[in-house]
Amino acid sequence: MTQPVVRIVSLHKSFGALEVLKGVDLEVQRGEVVVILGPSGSGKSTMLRCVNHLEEPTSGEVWLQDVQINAQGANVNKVREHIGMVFQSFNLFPHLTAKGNVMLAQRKVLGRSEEEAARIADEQLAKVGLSDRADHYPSQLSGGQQQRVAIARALAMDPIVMLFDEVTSALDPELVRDVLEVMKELARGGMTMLVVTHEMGFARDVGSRVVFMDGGVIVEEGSPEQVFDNPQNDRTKDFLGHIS
Amino acid sequence: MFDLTRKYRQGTLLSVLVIFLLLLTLAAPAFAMSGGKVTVDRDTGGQLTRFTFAATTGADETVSRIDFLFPEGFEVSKARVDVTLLEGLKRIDAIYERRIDPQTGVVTVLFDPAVPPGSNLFMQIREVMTPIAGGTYVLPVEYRLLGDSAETTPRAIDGLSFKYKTPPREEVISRWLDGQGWVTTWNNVKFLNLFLKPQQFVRAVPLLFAGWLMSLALVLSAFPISIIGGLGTAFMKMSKVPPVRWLASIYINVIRGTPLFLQIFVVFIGLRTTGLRFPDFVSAIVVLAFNSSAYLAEIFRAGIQSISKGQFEAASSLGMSYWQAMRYVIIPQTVRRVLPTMTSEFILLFKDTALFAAVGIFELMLRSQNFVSRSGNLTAYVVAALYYLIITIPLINLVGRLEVKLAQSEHGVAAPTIKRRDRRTPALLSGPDFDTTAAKHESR
Ligand SMILES: Nc1ncnc2c1ncn2[C@@H]1O[C@H](COP(=O)(O)OP(=O)(O)OP(=O)(O)O)[C@@H](O)[C@H]1O
Ligand SMILES: [Mg+2]
Repeated sequence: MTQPVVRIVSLHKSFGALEVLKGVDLEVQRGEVVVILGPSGSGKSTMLRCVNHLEEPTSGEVWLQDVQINAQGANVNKVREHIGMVFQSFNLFPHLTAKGNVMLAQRKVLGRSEEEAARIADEQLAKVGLSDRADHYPSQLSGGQQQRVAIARALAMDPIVMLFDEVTSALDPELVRDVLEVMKELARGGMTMLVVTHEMGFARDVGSRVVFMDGGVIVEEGSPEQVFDNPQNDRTKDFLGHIS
Repeated sequence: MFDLTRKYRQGTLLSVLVIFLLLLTLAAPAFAMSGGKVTVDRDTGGQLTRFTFAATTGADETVSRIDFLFPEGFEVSKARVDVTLLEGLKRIDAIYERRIDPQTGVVTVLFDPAVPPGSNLFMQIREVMTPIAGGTYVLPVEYRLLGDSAETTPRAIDGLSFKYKTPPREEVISRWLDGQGWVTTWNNVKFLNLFLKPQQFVRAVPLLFAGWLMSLALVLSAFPISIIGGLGTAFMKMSKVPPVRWLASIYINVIRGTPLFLQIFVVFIGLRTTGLRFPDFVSAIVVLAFNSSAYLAEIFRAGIQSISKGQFEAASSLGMSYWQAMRYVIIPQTVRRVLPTMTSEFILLFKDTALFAAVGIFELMLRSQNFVSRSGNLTAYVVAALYYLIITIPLINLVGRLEVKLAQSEHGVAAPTIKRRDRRTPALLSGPDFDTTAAKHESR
């Protein structure tokens, strides 16, 4: 087996006295789309945020390829360059246009030239279908458009892996499709993805693996067919029963 | 003995010298009127002026007529003449007649009986209107002797001159106002006379201008320093290192918890007694900057912390360092948010320059105070108020517009309620919510 893109080993995370992650182990191979399911408060977001060190693990290891991001003295910023993250709340920079959003980190972090950053921004915005919105400010865009700009912004950094945390949850239903379409396209292109979502259709169609979390641990994982059609764990059954 | 003789000798020498000089001066009047001199009792033009003429008639002259040939531009139609005549030290009655030719500006005095030879003559020509333009003017004076016929060329005293300055424009306007009927009516109203006397107003405007510039210079020099200091302090206050945070807190609380007036006294009087001497202007800027930095620090900190955590996380997840995220993502958004509050702070600081009157900096307040204490009229305060308002009203307006713009750009996201300076002028600091909605309705 080749080296996994992301490797999580015995991950524990506590907020004060509250232990949110109680020993998570997960390996994500190149090109895999791992869909993470689970009830609210089960620690999905926290796990995802530990991957790019927005949360500092209490114990355990988080690896991006051969770099341990939570090691003493690790260059966190450097590792983050290679991990794209898309948030539920978009978090576009409101003082910059769509194109400005996509260009900023290319310029300041990767040190790309103005022209190159602009060219890549145009490419990425075209990919998410927003070429005609390049000069719009976030406040002038719909939620779905904003989220697609956020995806373009992350992709412009040429990430090794993309993290999606309930990226469609804040969207009106009619806008969800466009965003999911972009994500599907991305998966088809071979991007390694960790996706927290409640979109079961997407999980079934796109997911190469489904991980079910509850109470800060992974209680079940397998192919979408296994998990959706023949869940083994009671909590998974219960959860899926509630959803569908 | 020796000393005494010497003193005596010196004394005689001195007396001889004095007598000799006296003889010299007395020798001259033997031939013509002498010692002629003209003075004016006003040092600026454009007003009724009294001219004084003094001379001694010659030993062989019995003067029957004197003509004063006022230059062009001098208005003599209302002139009055007084004459004092001394024979030696004895005053003699002068009987004379005054004639005025307003066209040519000639004032003629006819003596009957004529002035005896060797008389000291003092004449006053009052209520002559002088032209506004200052300078040195020559006043030719001619005289005739008893028995001269009309054809005789009159004798002249040459080289009589006087000078005065051009009055400043406000002086001219003020004098003009003195003569206006409506001004008199206006000033008859006690309140208007006390607070809005036109003449005082006109005089105060140019005099307070320099003070206004000083106040502006103070705040314009201090404010940029405060912005830098405020930003620095804000970051210190948000530091992960506790002692740094404490230092910032102490500074902010001490400055915000004590009156600026006290801070001014501490710096001005404190520095003076420790022997550290800076120019007052520099000390003033230091106090203002120190004071304002503390307020701006809190404004900035609140502004930075009002930016959602997601912005910082988004920047971080793209690989930006803390300072990159600050510089390119957080600060630009903060600036837009704190601009209205910062402008309010600027307004407060500008008004606070008035406190420097207490330590003798000639800014707007001290100048108006001086003007008031000299004139006994309060109009200068009104002028000072106007000078403050010239700056503050447009800025107050700007604050309102910035708040509307901010609210609009953030699309319904309410402007952050940043804690503002609570101590002064509540009108200025009305809540942003209220302002915004009011203005929004207006703009529709
Ligand atoms: N910064 C924090 N400080 C304290 N507690 C936190 C923090 N972040 C998350 N938690 C807690 O950790 C638990 C797990 O949160 P997390 O956001 O990971 O859940 P989740 O599975 O993503 O839930 P959801 O589906 O609602 O997003 C929750 O109980 C939450 O309240
Ligand atoms: Mg979550």
